[in-house]
This record gives sequence, C-alpha cells and structure tokens, in this order.
Amino acid sequence: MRASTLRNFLPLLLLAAAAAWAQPADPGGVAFFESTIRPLLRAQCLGCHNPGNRSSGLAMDSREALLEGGNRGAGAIPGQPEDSLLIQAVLRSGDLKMPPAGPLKPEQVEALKKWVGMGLPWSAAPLAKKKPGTTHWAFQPVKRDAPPAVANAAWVRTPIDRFILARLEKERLPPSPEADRLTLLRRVSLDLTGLPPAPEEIAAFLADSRPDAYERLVERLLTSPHYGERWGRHWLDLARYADSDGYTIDSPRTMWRYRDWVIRAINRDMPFDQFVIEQIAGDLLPNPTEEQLIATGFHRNTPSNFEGGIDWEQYRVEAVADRVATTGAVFLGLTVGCARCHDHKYDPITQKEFYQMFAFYNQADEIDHEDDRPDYWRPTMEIPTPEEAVRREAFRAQFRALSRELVQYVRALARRGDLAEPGKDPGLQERVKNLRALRRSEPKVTVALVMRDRATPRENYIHLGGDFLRKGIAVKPGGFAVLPPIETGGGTRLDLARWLVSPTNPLTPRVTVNRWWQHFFGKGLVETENDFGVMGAAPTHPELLDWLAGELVARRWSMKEIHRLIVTSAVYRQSSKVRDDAAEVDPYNKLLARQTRLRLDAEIVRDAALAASGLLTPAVGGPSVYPPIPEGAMSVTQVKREWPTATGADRYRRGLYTFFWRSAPHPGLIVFDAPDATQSCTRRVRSNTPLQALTLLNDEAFVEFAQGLAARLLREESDDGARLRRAFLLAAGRPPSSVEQERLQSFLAAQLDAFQTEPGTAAELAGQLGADARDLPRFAAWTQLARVVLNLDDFLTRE
Amino acid sequence: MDFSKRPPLTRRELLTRSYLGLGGLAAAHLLGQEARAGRVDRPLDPRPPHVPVKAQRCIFLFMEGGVSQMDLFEHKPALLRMAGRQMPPAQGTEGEIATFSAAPNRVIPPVAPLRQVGASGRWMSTLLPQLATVADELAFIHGIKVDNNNHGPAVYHTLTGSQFPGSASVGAWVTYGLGSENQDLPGFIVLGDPRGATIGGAGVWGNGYLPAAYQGTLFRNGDTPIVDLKRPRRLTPEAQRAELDLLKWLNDRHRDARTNASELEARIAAYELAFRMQAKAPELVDLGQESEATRKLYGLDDPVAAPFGRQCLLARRMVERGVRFVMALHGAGGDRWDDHGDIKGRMPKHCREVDQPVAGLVKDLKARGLLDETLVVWASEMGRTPFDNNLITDKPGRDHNQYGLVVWMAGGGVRAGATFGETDEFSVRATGDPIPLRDVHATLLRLLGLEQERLTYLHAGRYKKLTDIGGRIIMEVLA
Repeated sequence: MRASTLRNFLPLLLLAAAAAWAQPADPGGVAFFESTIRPLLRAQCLGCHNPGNRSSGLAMDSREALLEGGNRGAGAIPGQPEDSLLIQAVLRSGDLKMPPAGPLKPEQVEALKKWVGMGLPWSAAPLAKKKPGTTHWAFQPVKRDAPPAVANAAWVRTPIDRFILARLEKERLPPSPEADRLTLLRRVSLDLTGLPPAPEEIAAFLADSRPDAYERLVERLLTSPHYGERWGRHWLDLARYADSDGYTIDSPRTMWRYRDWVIRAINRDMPFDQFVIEQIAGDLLPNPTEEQLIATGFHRNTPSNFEGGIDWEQYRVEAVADRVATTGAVFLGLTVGCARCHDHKYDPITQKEFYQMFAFYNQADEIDHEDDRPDYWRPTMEIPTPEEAVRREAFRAQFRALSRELVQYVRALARRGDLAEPGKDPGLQERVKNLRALRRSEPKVTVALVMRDRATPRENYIHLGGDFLRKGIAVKPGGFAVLPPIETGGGTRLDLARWLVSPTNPLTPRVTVNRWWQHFFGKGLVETENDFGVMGAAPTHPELLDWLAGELVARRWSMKEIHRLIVTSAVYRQSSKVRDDAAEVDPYNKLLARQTRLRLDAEIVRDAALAASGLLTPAVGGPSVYPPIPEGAMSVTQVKREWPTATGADRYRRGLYTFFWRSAPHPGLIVFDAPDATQSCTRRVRSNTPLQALTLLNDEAFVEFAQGLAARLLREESDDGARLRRAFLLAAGRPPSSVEQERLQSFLAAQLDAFQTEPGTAAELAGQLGADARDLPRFAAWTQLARVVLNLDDFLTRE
Repeated sequence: MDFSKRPPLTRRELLTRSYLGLGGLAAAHLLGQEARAGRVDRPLDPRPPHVPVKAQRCIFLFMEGGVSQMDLFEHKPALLRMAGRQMPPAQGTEGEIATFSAAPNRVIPPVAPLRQVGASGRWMSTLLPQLATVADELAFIHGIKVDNNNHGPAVYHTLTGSQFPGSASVGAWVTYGLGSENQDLPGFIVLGDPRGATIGGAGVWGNGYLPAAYQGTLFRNGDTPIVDLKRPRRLTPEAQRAELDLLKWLNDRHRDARTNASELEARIAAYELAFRMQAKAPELVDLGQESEATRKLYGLDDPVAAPFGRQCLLARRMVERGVRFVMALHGAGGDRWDDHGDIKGRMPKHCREVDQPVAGLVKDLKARGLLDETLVVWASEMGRTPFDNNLITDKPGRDHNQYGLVVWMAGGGVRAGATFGETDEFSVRATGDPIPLRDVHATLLRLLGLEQERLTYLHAGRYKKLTDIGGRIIMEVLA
C-alpha cells in the first residue's frame, strides 16, 4: 500500500474507530450512514427537522434527537423499522406522509429501513448547526433611550414630539401646523369619548383664552364617564364581545356585566396590568370579588355551539384554541394561532409551545360531553339585577312565611293529636300544595359566564395537525422559548396572566401602546398591530415605541396617563390636511407630518347623530338594548329571534349598547365595518359603500335623529340664521361659512314652499317628534335640512 | 435620506418603496392587497381576472339540508338488491359518518327510479324530468368530502371554505377578486328562501375579514329588496334629489378645500350610487317585465315551483346586468333537504320546487347567449347515507353523509357532460381518495379566472385563502 493511499484511508479509519467507540460495534454501519443515510437526511429531512425549526417538535440532527422524537413520540426505534415512525412516514402507510414534497425512491426507503434495522448507526460529525438565537427586534427587552434632540425645539410639547420631529427633520419634512381649535376640539372629544362637543362646550372652549385651555379640556374628557364607553368598545373588539352564543342556534346570553366591568375599569383607570390579570385569571386571585369573577368573562366571549348531534369536545377545543390565538394577538402581538396545526412558518413558535399555552386554558370547567347538555353555559355565576334581587327577596319572604305557617299548622295538628293520617287533612294538603306551587314559580336570576377551573384536570397534549382527536405527546403549561420563561408555580392561568404583564415581557407593553396609538392616528407605529413577528412590519419609530412602552410600565400601567401624553402632543394636534410636499415623500403618512382623517366607527356614527339630535340617553351600562332595526333584518336567523324595539329612553342609547346577535348583527353596525364578534378584532377596516349612504339617508333611526335635530333647532333658537349655525355646530362641530349659510337658506326656503303646498307630506316627514310642532311645514323643511347636515362628510369624519 | 436630490420616482415606485420600507413581507403584501381591491375608495370597480376565462359571473344554487345523491344522481343497484336489509358493516359506515345512527341501519332503495338521460347517458332521477333535458350541459363531481357532518359547520364550510363562522363567503372572495360590472347594484347578491333563514345566518354571505364592501347583500321579497333602500315615507324623489344636490354641493366644497382626499371623493360617489340603487333595485326585482313564456320557463305558473323560480329568474336578471355573484338559497326550516324521515314523501316535493326553475335557468341563459359567460353551480352541504337512520321507523329517511356531496356545474369554461369522481356501490364514500371540498372551491375560482394562490388577504398574520391549504383544480370538469 502506497503512502498516499494510506493517507486517503486514514480519516475514514479514524472515523470508523471513533464511531466504533460510541456506537454499536459496526464500522460498516457508520460507513453506510456516511455514504447513504447522511446525504439522504440532509437532502430530505433536515430542512425542517433541524434544531432551529424542529418541525413537529422533531430534530433529526443527532441519534439522540431522533430517539427523543417530537410531537408524535420517538422518531425511530433501533432495530424495529416496522414500529418506527420514520419508516411509517416514508412508506406513507398512515396519515403521516413524508417528505411532504413527494415519496422517496423505493431504494431510499429500503436504505432507511435497513439503517433502522441496523440500530441507527451514527457518526460523530455534526449534521446541522445548533439553534440560532433569535435577534428579531420585538423579542428584545424594551430599551429606553432619552428622547432625541431636535432643531425646532419650540414645536415640542411632549417627549413624544421629539421622536417624531427628529425623524421629520432628518427627512427635511416640516410638521403640519396645529389644527384649528374647532377641529381639535371635535377630534379629541370623539377620540376620547366618542361624542362630539355640544355647542355650549364649543362656546366655552372658544372663550377659554387660558394657555392651558386644551389641557383642561383633555382633563375633562378623561374624567367623563363616556371615556370608558369609547375605550371600552375598543377593548370589546379585542374581546370578541357579543350578546348571543353564535353558531346556528345563537341563543341570547348575558355578557353585558362583563361589558360594564370593562367600562368601569377603564373609567377608574385601573392599572392595565391589573386589568389584564383580572380578565385572564380573576377567579384564581385570593378571595376573588364578584367584580373579579365578572372580569373573567373576557375569555367566555368565544362563540358556543349547542346544536344537536355535535361533538362537544370539538367545540370546547375550538374555544380554547381561540383563547390562545386571542392571547397571542391581543397581548403579545404574535400570530400564535398559526402554530396550532404545525410549527409557526416564520416566527420561533413551535406547535408544542402552542399547546403549552393551550394547557393554561385547558382546565376551564366547560361542557365537553352530551350528558352535561342542560348545563351548557357553565361555568357561570348568578348575578341578580336589582329588580331580580327584589323579586327574589319577595319570593323568599313569601316562601319563609308559607313554610312557617305550614310548620305551625303541623304543630297544631300534633297538639290536637291529629297526626295519625296527616295526608288526609285538607288543611295540610292545601298548604303543601301552595308551597309546591310557589317553589315552581321561583324567579329566575341572571347568570354571567365566567371562568372556573375543573376539579379533575384534563390531560394536556399536542393535537396533531390541529385535530382534537389526534393525540401527540403530553405537554405541560409553559411559554415560548424565545421569550422570558413563565414562572409556573402551579401552571395556572394566574401564572400566565402575571407573566403577560411582568416587567420582563417586552411584548405586552409594546403591543398595547401601539394599539392605542393606532386609535389616535389611524395606524400603529407598527402597522401590523397583531403581528410583531418577523413577517410583520418594522416599527416606523422604534425608539418612540419603546419609550412609550417603558413609560406605560413606569407610570404604573396607567392608560389615562399615556392617553393624556399622546393627545397633548404636538404631533397629535397637527392639522390632518394632506400636503403635496409630504404626500410625495411619504404618501402613507408614516412619518406623521400631519394627522389623519378617519371615518367614524360604526357605533360612533350613531352616537354622533344621537348627540346632535339631542335625543341621546346618556346612561352608562346596563342590559343591551333594542333600538329600531330595519324591517327584515331579523329574518336571517335560523331560530326565530325577537327584537322588542324600545320605545322609551332605551331607543336612544349609544351604539355600544345595541344588542349584538351574532347571526343577525344590526345592519347599522355591520354596514359600517363593526366586527362580527367571531374572533378577536385588533383593527377595523374602514370601507365606503353605497349601503352606508342608504343607511344614513333612509334608515328609520336616522330619519328620527333628523326629526330630533329639527325639533331642537326650532326650540333652542329663534331665528333661522342662528338655527343654521347651530345645526352645523351640532353636526360638524363648526359654523357654516357665509356661502354655505346662503345656500342653506335658499334650500330651506324651497323646501318650506313645497311643504306648504303639501301639508300632508310635511306631517309624514315630521313624524312623531314633529307632532307637537305648531308649524308642520316649517318642521318638515328643517327635518330635511337636518338630514343633509347629518350626512355631511364633516359629520362622518373625524379630521 | 434626502429625496430632493434623487431622480423623481413614479407614484407606483414610491408606494412600493414606502411599503417595503416598513420591513416585512407582510407589509409588501398589503400593497398587492390594495391593488387587488382596486383603489381603496372604489372597491367594486371591475378588475381583470388572473387568467383569461369565459365565465364572468356566477350563480350559486345552494340546496340546504343535504341532498340525497343516490336518489338523484347516482345509480346504485346495490340499494335495490339490499333494500330493507342491514347495511354490510364492511362499508365503513360505523362511527364517523353516522352521528345520529344506531344499528340496524337498513338499506333504503331509491325513492324513485333513475334513468339514463341525454347523449352522455348520465343517470338521473325521474323526479327531475326537466333537469334531465339539460343534462348534457352539466358536469358532475361525485364523492366530495365536507369537514363536518352537522349542518351548521357543513354549510359554513361549503359557502365560506371553513366550518367555523367568521370566514369570507365564496361570493365575497369572488367580488374581492373581480369587483363588479354594475356599479348601480351590489356586486354580490343573496336570494334567500322566502320560507325562512339559512342555518348559518348572515355569516354565510358575510365578508369575514374582507372589507364590508364585499359582503353579500340579502335581497328580500317584495319591492324593497335591500334594507333601507326605500326613501322615508312621503319623501318624493325630487325632494331627495334636492337634499342630495345640497349635500353634494357641500361635500364638493369641502373636498375642494383639500388635496388628495380620495376617500372623500368616494363618499360623494357612494351617495350617487345609493341614489341610483334606489331606482335600479326595484326595477331589477320587477318580474312584470318578463314575458309569459319566460315566466313559465321558470315555473312561475306552478305554485310549488314559483318561489324558487322567482329566485332563479331574478338571478338571471342580475347576471344580465353584470352582478358578479348571485347566491340563491333553497330550503328553510322544515322544508330543507334534510330527509331523516319520510324521504319517499318529501323528496318529490323538494324536486318539484327546483326542477323546473333550475332547468329553466340553464335553458334561458343558453337562449340569451349568457350561459357561456356565466358559471352555474349546484351544491348542498353534504350527501346522505344509503341506510335508514332509525328515527322514524315506518317512514324511513337517510342520515347525513359528509363524504357523499355531489356538486354540478354548467356554463362558461365547464366541460359539458363531464363526470369526475365515483362513490362505492352504496354511495357511502368515494372509491379513491375523497375529493376535499377545497378542490371544488379551487375549481370554481379558476373557472372565474381567479387563482387561489393569488387571491389572498392578509389577516391575523396569515394569507387567508378560500381554499385554506390549497385545493386541486379539477381539470377533468374544465373545457
């Protein structure tokens, strides 16, 4: 043998020797591995089954990893090819068919069989690199840089402005001037309370020449009870709030207690961390209050299917999976739901981690079997309304009285020695009958859907392919490797809740301030508000995002403080007018050289019209209500549902109190892009359709608002000029220009003419609200004018 | 970056750059999404298909309740041979497909004879004599598997691609992809069964995560087909015109005071559309304009067939006017095709309700030269079992079978007379691999010129598609 040949052989010999030391004494096996199996694994398997991806939890880069296996258990059993998952998968004999691109060649399958049969000989050389640490910005701790220096320091009102201005100055783009006072007043009123300013508020604000007039206005709005309604409704979008079960039966359910809890908590400025903890795990707090139990309704807003013949467990699992996805979207800004069926395609979230989080939610004592059907809403708690409490107390008093009387009667019988055949005593029979009848009439009490864990825990395991029937390996409650670990004392929801708002979790504060920002500017600093993962948009102003996130935590998670910071900033107070210079450089206004025009949200369209009409019932909270609904709107439900249209004050409640039937949402809401409450909605789209115009022009409710506005104008002002001015102030938050005023006058005169020739028409258009009007044609003409101003772009848009 | 020193970019480049500047692919996708949705402010503007095709519009006929495939379209001699005897267990009927069932699962023979019809010799029930006359226009797909064996989820699956509520209706997807040709009418119209609501409620024609502009508009009976279509009582068209003129004048002034207010422009346009819709929609539903012969063709002279005949005739009038997608729903309440009991008594009635109208629709479209440009689809949410489900012993009926759905298609791009898929001798399930419903959705999209992989919408971090993980286009039924 020549030396050169020996040199060629030497490494192989060494390798074989090394392998022989660590593996079954079969150097031929290692050679076989090197020559046939290693290239096969590299080409066909390691693309997904590497330590970084661990598709289905499985890595195949080492013998140990293959033996340890993944979500389905061990990847291979040495010496037993038939029982090895690897072989079953490449044979494509069961439901698992690998590789996904297409079958291996028969000789490749044979080679793998032989290899498993040989006991999985392996060489020491590594097959793949170790899992790389993730460097994605969103997973890094929140960094708090000092606000940057800017050239135009005079423009700055809050630290926020420095971040925005520094970037604008870099792009040589000046910010827009401050919006005029009327625009600013209407904007901040709508943004904080969802209601336009009343004419008196407009006058007061215009007259207030103090330098901090705007700041005083903001304070007033932040303490208004309507602030909780406005921001509560934003939260209810995330909570997928509705007043009915959903699916095909869609029974009504009592969720408004939860809705009211949200409003109250926000009005009280409950620290956001506590707000989260109580909603996720209020029931697990020590000695939870009734309020804390109601708060857990957050995750009981999932739709429920109670159709005949269903598999209850399937729908329970669906609800739990939705809670995981919602937790991801709402708090973490991650599309965790994508990892339900397979490892996340882009983000470092494995399917196993999805089910670790699933495990936190898996113990709720919800129905999972047909035998429990009568109790299908469980877990619930009784919360009587005041009226119900009175009725129940009356019932109890009556029951006590009758019981007492019965006892006395029996005693009397006993005293008389008549107890031999008490069943035959007519007086006794009568009393027992009455008591039984009373018992049957026990008044029902409202129940709220809440969270409560069951006594015997359910098993936690991976659902292969997202299928609740296909069990994978067992898992324990836990978090995501890429984020700080969850301190799991008992692996309960409370551990999860505390982790969501723990100081080490960088995502919850970032995602939260970003969503608030989105409501104030139309889009977030991270435009993909529900995806902070690697596929999401990068923040336009990363330092500002982190500064705000840090500020939120530093200010004891106070939502009002952050809102105050934002709305008092110079960037918020800018005009929304599109500037040609800025539009060229920044067509999507990411740099925020101006504010943004936003069409009012569905509920706010109604609220603003109600406020302008003077009809608004400003009551906060209570059971959901039934304002007028277009004819036929309730004909779309499978089970016939009633819509007992309100006639009194409840006819004029704010839009967020309208009863929300999932199978037949009020058209006035859905046409204006209100979410359908099937899943968490982190951002509403704003569309623009002719059906919206039809609603505003023809819907009974809006005709009534116009009548209300007409009545109010005629009542509150004595001359037409003042009325026109007031009409514009009420609807658009500004007075009409003189040209507009002129045109409105002539319209009014023409309509008055027409109605005077046809008083019958006037009476119809004036409707109920005009019935008392002394001058019907005038009332009708003003109703028409009111209809026009309630359709103005100025009315529908927050500038 | 100092933009003033660089060569001017086109608007498109600017848009692309600023989007890509956001970072992720998702952001880049938003641009395509907006392009697909047309100008954001004109969501229903017609848009070209992904691939050139003949079918421009779709009429989707949905038979709710689960049509019995073996009574109408599948000739299974084994049903006669085994009639009244227990279903052989080897047929895989145990467990999963028979939710309501318990032994003994006696085989029920076809409720009426089937015969071979048309040049293709396709088997069809004698309960559908009129449909038989157009049999050669139809292409059938047998052995389709639906994700759930219960009505609610199966209806959602058939009409939205997912068994859970919240996804976009197939009609919403198509309108999102193609816009609509008639701007005076909604692009996606739903014609409900006048006897009652569909089991899934408004969700089956909902826009799901797509913008509200794509949600189906339910047309009601009578002269006010759309919610809030009618002007307030006694408000004359002239008075309303005066209001709208004033409104337009005010909004125009408002717009002129600013640049680049495209959504304001769109709002002004929407009011004009709404005004026109008030005039066009009642005209659309006025069947008095149709000839006696046409009315008869749709069965309007037969009180049993007239309700669905009216829906079918309306559907033709809609596609004639360029409405992109019309969904006609048949079956409601106790009158659904859900024949658990007395199938022999009930099937003839269901069939008579739809036979003349559906055949009339195909013939009328053809006569008017519209069939080539229109895709007609017949579907239900599931098929049925060959055996009794033991709910009513003296008048047997069939149970649900999520593996037995039959869909047929006709019109532009469809290979008339084709058949794809086959079920076993009892029509329990497909003989080969079951055909997943998403294959049918993929095929429907393709016939309308839309590619499932390109018709996507970014929602909650996922590119949502009608076909979810993607379906196979059933080339066998394409011309």
